[in-house]
Amino acid sequence: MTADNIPSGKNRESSDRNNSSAAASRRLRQNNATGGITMRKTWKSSALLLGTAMLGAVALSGTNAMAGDVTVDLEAVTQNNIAESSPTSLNFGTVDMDPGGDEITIDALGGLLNSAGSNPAAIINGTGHSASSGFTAGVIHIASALALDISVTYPATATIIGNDGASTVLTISDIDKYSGAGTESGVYHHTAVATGADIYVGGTLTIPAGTPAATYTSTMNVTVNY
Amino acid sequence: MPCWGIILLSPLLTAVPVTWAGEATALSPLDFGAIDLNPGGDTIVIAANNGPAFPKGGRSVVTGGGSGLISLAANLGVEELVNIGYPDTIPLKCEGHQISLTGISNYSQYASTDILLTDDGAPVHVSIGGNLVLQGNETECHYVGDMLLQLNFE
Repeated sequence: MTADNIPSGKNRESSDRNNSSAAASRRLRQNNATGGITMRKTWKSSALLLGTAMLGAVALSGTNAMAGDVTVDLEAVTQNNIAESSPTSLNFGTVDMDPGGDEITIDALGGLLNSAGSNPAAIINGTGHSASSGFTAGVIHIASALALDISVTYPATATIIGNDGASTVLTISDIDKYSGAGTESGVYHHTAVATGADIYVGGTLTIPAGTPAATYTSTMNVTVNY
Repeated sequence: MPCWGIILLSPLLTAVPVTWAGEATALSPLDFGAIDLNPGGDTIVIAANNGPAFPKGGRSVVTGGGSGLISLAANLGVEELVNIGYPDTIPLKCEGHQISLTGISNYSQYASTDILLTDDGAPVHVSIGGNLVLQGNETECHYVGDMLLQLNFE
């Protein structure tokens, strides 16, 4: 072998590989002669089967990643079958006032369960000697075809203002204490759906000494809860 | 040779989607009942996180109604894991008016967990809830709609 024929570096490696490949070819040829060609075919079949397995896996994966859907119907009805009104005012009537002042109370608790009769309020005069006539409890009427549990949130106090020119202010307190369906009287279980419910409203009017004679009026907001 | 594989297998791939892994059936609508709306507006909630539930208003009177119900079951004889995709919001409409159902995933079952469907095909019931935010001046109407739930078989 001459120096030109001696492979060096990569060429030598390549030559080695070529030699190795040639050797392998020889082995294959030898194997061919001894049935090795069958092994070679088997190897190719294996490659095809591998491909099949891989694609099959994709197919199975596709099966498990399926998505579907289901439709759910939706429904809601908004209505206004409950109506509140205030047919009767809370009225302390005409008070012949004690000059020393007084407290006039309308106790309307007795009206809580009465929706058909007369106004059930009771008057309770204070420690003074005033006399009141023509008084009524306030009435909250709730028309509802539904049986309801009703509770009313009353203000702690309310004021009424005189038409005496000085706009004298008087205070009504204990409204919750003397009214129906409040915190103290408890929830009103309304079942008389044909007639509706009447909630009676009372309270205590404080009249200081020297209060001018006048007509005192105002409004009061209450919240009806169902 | 690889081409054979592709040709042979592609019919299998295209055939896969016609085979369902499970059955889904809507059994009950999501019904918010009859709402006597508080003039100040209200939010009506059906909290079905733990199963069937009725609508509740904060300060309105709600009569009737109930959570929606669907049934899921595996039908290929193998266990399946299913994830339900709930929509964020769905409109309910009536005579040109519209209200919105929201909070569906918050008030429904299996919003954050997968459902295991057993290989014996036993059904799993899923309760569906949500909430309606109503303004005080909503038009009195009979609102209807429908909601598509996405079912992802894993």
